[in-house]
Amino acid sequence: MMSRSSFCKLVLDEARRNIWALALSALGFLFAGPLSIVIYWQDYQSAAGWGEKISTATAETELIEGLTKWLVVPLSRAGLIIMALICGIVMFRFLHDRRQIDFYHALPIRREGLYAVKFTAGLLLVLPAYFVSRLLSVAVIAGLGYLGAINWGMLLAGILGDLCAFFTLYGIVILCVVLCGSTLVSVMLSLWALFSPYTVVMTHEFYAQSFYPAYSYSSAAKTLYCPVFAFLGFDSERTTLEIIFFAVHTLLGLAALVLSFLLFRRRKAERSGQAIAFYPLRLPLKIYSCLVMGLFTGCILRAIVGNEVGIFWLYLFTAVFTVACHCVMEAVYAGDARAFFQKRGTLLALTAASLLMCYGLKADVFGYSRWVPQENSIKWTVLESLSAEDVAGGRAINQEHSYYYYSYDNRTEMGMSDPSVIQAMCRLAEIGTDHLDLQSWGAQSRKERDEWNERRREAGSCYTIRLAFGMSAARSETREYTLPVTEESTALINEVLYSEQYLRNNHVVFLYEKGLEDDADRGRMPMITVSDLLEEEPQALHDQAQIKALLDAVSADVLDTAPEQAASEGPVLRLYLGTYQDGDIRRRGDMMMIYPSYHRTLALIQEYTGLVPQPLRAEDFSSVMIGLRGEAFDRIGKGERVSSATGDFIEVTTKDPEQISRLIADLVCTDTGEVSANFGMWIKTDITVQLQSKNGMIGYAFAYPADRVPEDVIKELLAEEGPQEAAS
Amino acid sequence: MIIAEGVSKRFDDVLALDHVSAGIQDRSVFGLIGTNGAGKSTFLRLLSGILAPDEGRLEIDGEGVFENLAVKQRCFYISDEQYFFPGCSPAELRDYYRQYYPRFDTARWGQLMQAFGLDADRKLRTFSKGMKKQVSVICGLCTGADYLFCDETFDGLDPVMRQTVKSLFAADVAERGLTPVVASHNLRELEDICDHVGLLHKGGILFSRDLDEMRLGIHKLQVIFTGDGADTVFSRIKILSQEQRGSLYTLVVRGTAEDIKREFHAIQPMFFEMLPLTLEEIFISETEVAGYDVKKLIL
Repeated sequence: MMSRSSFCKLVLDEARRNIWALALSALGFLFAGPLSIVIYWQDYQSAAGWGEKISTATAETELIEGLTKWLVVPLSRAGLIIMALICGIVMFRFLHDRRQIDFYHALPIRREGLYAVKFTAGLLLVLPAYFVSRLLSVAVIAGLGYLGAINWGMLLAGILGDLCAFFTLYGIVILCVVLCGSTLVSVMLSLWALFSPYTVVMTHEFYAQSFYPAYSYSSAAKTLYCPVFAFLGFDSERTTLEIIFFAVHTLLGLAALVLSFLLFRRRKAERSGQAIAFYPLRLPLKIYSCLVMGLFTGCILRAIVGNEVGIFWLYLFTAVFTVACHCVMEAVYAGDARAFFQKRGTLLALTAASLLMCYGLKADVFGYSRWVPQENSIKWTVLESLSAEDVAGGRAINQEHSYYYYSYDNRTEMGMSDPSVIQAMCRLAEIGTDHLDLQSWGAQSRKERDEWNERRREAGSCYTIRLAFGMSAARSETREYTLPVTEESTALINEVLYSEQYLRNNHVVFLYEKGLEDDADRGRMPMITVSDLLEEEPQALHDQAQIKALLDAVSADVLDTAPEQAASEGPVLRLYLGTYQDGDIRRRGDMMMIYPSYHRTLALIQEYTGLVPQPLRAEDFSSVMIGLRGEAFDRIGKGERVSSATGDFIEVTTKDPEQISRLIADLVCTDTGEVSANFGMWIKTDITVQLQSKNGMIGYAFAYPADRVPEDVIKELLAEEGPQEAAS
Repeated sequence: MIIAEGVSKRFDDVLALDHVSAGIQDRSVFGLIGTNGAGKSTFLRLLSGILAPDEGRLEIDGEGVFENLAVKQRCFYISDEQYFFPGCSPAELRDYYRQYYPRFDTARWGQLMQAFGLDADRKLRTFSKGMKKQVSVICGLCTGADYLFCDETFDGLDPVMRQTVKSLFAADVAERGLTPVVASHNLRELEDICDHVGLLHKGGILFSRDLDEMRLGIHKLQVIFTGDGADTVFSRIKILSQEQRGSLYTLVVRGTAEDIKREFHAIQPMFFEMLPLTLEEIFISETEVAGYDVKKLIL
């Protein structure tokens, strides 16, 4: 057994021989730590000098936030990850050189001791420099006078996270170096070990995007399958899913470390120079790599050449790259390029397997699109997006919000757990799976797209919805469906949209109220601005009591809105929910619309600002331009109904006050912000309306409800303009 | 004592050692002779504990070598392709070995470095091949190891240095019981130093013999017979090889010198002389008996 002093001497000796790595660490962590803080501080000082005029207190708050965030930055962690890769390879690459193996293994030291010396020396080259940089960072912040503002918990958590990242990557790289007999191959295996899980996930994602009708890009969680991305993205705003992946990667990294130690002891010295030092690993590694690379590259290339070339090319590319990967791996294993076509039996079997998997993935053998959530397993659900369209009739409903990048925790916060809502959402998903033929998919050929368009036209009005379901802390599913507009589907959607949980989680007024506490902590005061639809003469409210009362009224009115009202009325006023600080508007705020049924709100607005909703008046506009395309062009423009979607359009303009008056009478404002709360109204989208006000402003956000198009006026205008050439 | 019994080692499809059995006595210089690919380096790497045998047992003083710290501290291996740390000097190498070999004799190391005219602080990468081998030998001798395994160590040394190293080996063998095992493909290199030689061929030991015994038991002589004396003596002695040029016979004969002289003097030859045999000639004769043409086996 080696004595402690001998061990320390050997470790120091080993570290001294690789002093360049220590220098690299020190330099890197110096820049990632204290120097970055100093640069940030100086940059902030100069920016504050010529930037917006803000109070010293505000600047101080933001500076402290920035400085303390710099204590836990991805730069240091990235540096640790890079050094883990470098040191793991540098310390153990002696296993790949026969001369070095003979030298070390002839010495009177047990393999466990040799492993411990090399492992510890690697730590010594990185961790001291890292910790010194952390200390210097704290010292710099203290020197700037902000020691008391440091969040020590966050700092310690960040350091713990950094260390987990380091040991995980270190363990994985050492394992790969021990498994291989060549440094180049061990670098490749390390990179493959780190990034292939993400490749596998993305391969499934590509197939889903290309071939599955119900596909929806759910979130950025895919990147978490790669330990590097998982560790780099893990910060103070971590989500539950990120914590889970972090923990799993850390455990895997520790397992890799233990396995590397065990295999190091058993490794045969004569395997230096071989690509893989443990022969039982060769075949499984080849199978895994060939299948993944074949499937991944096949679908990527097919996407590049385009959907018109036919599905044959997907199979061809998959087979070619499976073969190519096999040949390369055989050549690497043998250390001889002439070994390309060895193991022909395995080659054929792998090619057949990859084609079978390709077929299976394309055919959705795992049932992605046919998946229907089970009510009792759903913990929360989110309506991520919702729109309604009548392709043939040129109609659409004001689109609901659309979020593609909900983080997991964001969904859990915004998700709905009300059993009736979950039931409605599950039923919507069920209807969606019954109408997969109405959904398109990414890799449609032109013929397939034409057939799909025909089916959509025949279906008439359809809803397109994207639903997310959360089953557990780590599992959620998102699907996109197209459902025909029926009584049932409309009722289900209304049940969701007008549920209290949905409104409280999504409507801007409730989100604004939730944010007011944070704003108050930062010295920002609420401010509301009211204006008419044309945004002329806005009125700002600063009185906090009035704002509170108005918000309460808006909240109550929003919750009381019935679907029938929403389907029939357009907005009458605009409300901007913002904040101000130091007398300046810091945030103009989110916009919401006020509707005629918001009695309480309208009463208070009138009381506080004197503003009363007014209909649009012809005397406010100098001209109105009407554009007709698609179905409207065919029906109104040419006087007969023909197939739409020609792309042609006509524009007619009037300056006649009487015609203007008739044209604007039934217009509704469609600029409804994030959450419309009047989802039920069908708008004629193939008729565009452009209003030019007398002060030169041009307004586009107006449209006609589908049942209130002033066709007689439009025909008059067309007749006045005479025969026209349709523009394309 | 080193004992190998039925030791085999395979590298994938290549059987490097095939049931090798040998015994190496302490306090003797053992020469391991063989062509390239015979298995000499493999055998030494097994002895050094770098490799583990696939079959058989390999023991030093009754203990296995592989992963045995106590045994390995008594062994030192000088590889045919030496490795030194980048930018390392002999002094740094000495300090490194001192951590592994507690009995390292620093004073003797300094003396030897001086005697060989080597600069302890100069970078090893600037040394010639021979100088590097000298440093390795010096380090090996100064570790205090009981067993020194040298793989092609004398290759690259000039004749003077070779003799110097041989003297050092002899002195250490006599004084502290060092047991060097020297592998080479060059018989002439080992002739003056080895006490015992083993011939390794295609993974197997062809023979292992004490050199003095070999020399004592085999002699080369030239003789010119008178009358029919040749027939008389040929039937009474064991002739390993025979050449005739005219009436001059050159014979390699097994037996003691006294017996051979007695037999030949009895027939009163016209000319009789005993000649010294080189190790190469001894080997040739011995292996021809075994059915091998050793000229094809060794240089």
